[in-house]
Amino acid sequence: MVPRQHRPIVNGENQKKGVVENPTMPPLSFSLQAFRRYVIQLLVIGIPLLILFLFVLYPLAAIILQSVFPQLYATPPSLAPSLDALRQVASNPENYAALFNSLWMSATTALLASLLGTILAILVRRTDLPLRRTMDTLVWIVFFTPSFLIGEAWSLFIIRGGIPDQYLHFSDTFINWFFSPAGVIFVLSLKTFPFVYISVSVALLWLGSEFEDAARLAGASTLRSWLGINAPLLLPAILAAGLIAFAEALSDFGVAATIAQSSSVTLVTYQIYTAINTSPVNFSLAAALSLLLFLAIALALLIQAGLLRSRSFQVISGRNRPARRLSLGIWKWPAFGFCVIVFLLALVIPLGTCLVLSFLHAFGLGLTPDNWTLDNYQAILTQGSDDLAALQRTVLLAIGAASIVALIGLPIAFIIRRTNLPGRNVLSLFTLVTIAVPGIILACGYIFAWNAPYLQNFGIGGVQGVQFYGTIWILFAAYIGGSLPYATRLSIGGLDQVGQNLLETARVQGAHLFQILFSIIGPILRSNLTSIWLLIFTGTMFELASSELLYPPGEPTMSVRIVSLFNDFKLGPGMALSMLNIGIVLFALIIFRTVPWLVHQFRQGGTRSKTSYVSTHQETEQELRIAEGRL
Amino acid sequence: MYLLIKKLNKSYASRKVVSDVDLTVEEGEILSLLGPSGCGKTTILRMIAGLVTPDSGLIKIGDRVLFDGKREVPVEERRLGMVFQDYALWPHMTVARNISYGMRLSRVPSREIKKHVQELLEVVNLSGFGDRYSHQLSGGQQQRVAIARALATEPRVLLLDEPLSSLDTGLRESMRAELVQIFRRLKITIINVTHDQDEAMSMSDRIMVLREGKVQQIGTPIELYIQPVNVFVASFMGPANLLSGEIMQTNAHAGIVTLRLGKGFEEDQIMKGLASGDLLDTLKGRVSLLCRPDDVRLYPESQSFDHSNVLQGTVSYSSFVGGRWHTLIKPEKEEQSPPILAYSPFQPHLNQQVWLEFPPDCCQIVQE
Repeated sequence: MVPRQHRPIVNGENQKKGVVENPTMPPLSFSLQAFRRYVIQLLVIGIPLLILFLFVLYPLAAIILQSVFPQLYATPPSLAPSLDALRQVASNPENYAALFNSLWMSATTALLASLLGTILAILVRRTDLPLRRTMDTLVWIVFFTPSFLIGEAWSLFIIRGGIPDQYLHFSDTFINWFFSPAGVIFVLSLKTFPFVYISVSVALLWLGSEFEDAARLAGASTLRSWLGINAPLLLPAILAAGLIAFAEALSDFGVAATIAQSSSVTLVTYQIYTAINTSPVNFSLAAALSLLLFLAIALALLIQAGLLRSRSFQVISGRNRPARRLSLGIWKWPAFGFCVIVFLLALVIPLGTCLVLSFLHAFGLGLTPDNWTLDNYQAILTQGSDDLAALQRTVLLAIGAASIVALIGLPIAFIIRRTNLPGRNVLSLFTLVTIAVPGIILACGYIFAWNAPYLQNFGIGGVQGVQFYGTIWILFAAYIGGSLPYATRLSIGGLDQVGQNLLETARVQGAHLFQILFSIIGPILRSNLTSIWLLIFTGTMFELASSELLYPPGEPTMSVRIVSLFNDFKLGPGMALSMLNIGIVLFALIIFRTVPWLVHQFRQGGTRSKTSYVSTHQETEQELRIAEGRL
Repeated sequence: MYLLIKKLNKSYASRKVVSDVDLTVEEGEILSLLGPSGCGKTTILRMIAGLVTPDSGLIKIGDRVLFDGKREVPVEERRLGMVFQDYALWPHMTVARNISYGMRLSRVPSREIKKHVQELLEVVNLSGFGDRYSHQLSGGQQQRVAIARALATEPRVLLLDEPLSSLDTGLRESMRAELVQIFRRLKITIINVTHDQDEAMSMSDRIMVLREGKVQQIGTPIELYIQPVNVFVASFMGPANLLSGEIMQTNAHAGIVTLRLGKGFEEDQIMKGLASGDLLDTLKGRVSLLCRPDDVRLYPESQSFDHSNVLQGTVSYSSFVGGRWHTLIKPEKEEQSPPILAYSPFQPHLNQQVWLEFPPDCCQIVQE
């Protein structure tokens, strides 16, 4: 018989390794095989959990607790509760003004961003707008561009004496209007509307044409059917997206550090930074403000999650209902013009400003032929320049953080979704909650958690212990901790698409946990993992908040260097560095997106694979929707 | 006795899905677990595989205990094979790598793997398909790969979870025959879960009928069809005419039961039917007379019979199905009884008066 010929060999192999047919399992059965497997299982589960705990939960807990237990890190540590910190915030207008500013400005931003994002989403997804695919890509570019760059670029664009002013002669009123809360809100809206766009796009995916068709059959005009039928159906998605925009605007640090400062507007994220970064250090204020900010964001996200709870998003990945495209008729070119203006404001002007300034000696001299130069780039790329060092440092950190996080996000997702381990629901909740933590708060947490005096008892810190705080490693840890919740949620989204049967089959064939992760789940989710890697890489390359607080003296990251160059008014070099930063990210995107595609084409001879591999576009959207939807 | 299951139990929340199930399977036997959705058959299969932990009971293969209430052998070590309803082929692997997965885990030398994979592909009639991916295969082909994959690790028992239900009807029947051929050649012990009684009957040596977690009957297809123990099994195994009644007298020696049809039949119609010895002892209360439509004889005119298993009725529906007419007859004076299904050799007309004969030796008495 065919298989029987091999029976001795397979059995023989098994017998050598101790997997034999035992009559029963004796109570203290101990085989090297089983032990090794147990250890591997422990490591696969334990290490990610440990990292999650040390790099995310512990610092977060440190800062939250610090706000109500101010003596937590004193020597000797004491758990004496006190509301002093919070009282400090409430009593001094200087302290709570920033919080108040952030709240109302973020709310306004959310409104504008919702309007903008929704209109754009409908135009791109549901009408015959010309160049809609390009528009879609442009939204993603806006999404990825760092806010500090946009903020700084707009400052320099409008500023008195700036290039546009030299030729257009802006009026005082205009400049004063811009460098005020109005300008800040303007820039924030441009930066946060992509979140709304993505959420509403996804909602539009499952909104088929049936409803508006029914209305139109009954006699309603297109506009009426849209306003009366589709709009209410979209409302929960729009509201939810608005809340995300609110949360994102609240947690933004880039705009707060650039244009807001030029406008003499202090936002709470920057105030937290100042509290830590100036002397004397005001830890309790930082902690209290962090707590309040965190609560505001968490509240917004909870409401948002509640709004979306009834929807089943499984529908989306299953089928794509091709809804009918609206014909814009006479509105086509006005609508197109509107979109062009949006991208002009969100991308072309800021990035154009950056690009132009990177090639100028000093922008005050205008666009004269003498002013153009490649010196800025040359200075960076010279061996031994601080900027080059920052560049190399940041790229290494970003690659390292992205790789580690992509790798451990998956086991955590697996634990949450596919095991019966106790506490996995709590774990899931933690990954949800920690997404709401802005970088600045997490960084503060790191300062409290890892510079605490009591750690010296464990041999960490102090004069003789292992140095962690103040080294590059704490920044690395902060990058990992900041992006791990995102990666986990995205991995969960990917993992949910893998049928349980695929894993059960592997188990029946004899695969253990690690083997399943490595040989089945990993390869199937390769595209998902690549997207996660790219997301984290990009985010880390542009990360500002944690970097500002935690970078080792003399070893800044690129973003920190760029902002300090801006602050020193060395705009040319600053912009050149920014352009290089963007260039590196684009390069990574191109490599990671096109190379696997090429390999795939080569291997499978051009046949398209279907099902389990959800289309990249849909997938990335879903990923971000899930991440930003805080599901 | 190769596979032994004793007093297997499983509850989810407060619902008992598997209730005191006992089962023995001989080596090389094909046994089907048959029943409607939710009857617990898939749960039992998954408990054998180890994917679900029973609440109590014993599962043993050969002389190796897989579960005994205290200790449980993990899935990965049970050395069973399983084919899922949707095949669950790994989309990122070729057919050959799918099949060889288990062997690669056991570190079989690659030359042996290659040879073995070739042989398996031949067994399932898919030679040359080794380099294809699952999305390049048809449903039937995918299913054969799934079977080859399950066979690759030389499992002691092969578990099938409704393997044919994803296929089109025509394909299903041809696959049935092919599968049985393969299994018989390899002399593998098979546990097959299905809700299709035709499939169970054509493929299995024995069938276990389940209902709401409880075993109704275990037996060969013929036994279950001809001598079901109760109404459920009778009607599940095929089209059945069931006339409800009360036992008047029993003749244990001849195995004959006389029953009085109640409820609206004229003057308490009396009928006779057969019952096997063991069953006869357990019959009590209300029983049903089972007569398969194949056995019911239909006459357009009154005949004289030497027994009283005759009913008069009117035709309520008929349809021509290849050579004969599927006919539904409403028995006279009937109120509660469902229409009788018979196969008429002549074309019946609506409302035609007909006479139905239920030959006593074709009638089986079953418990209600």
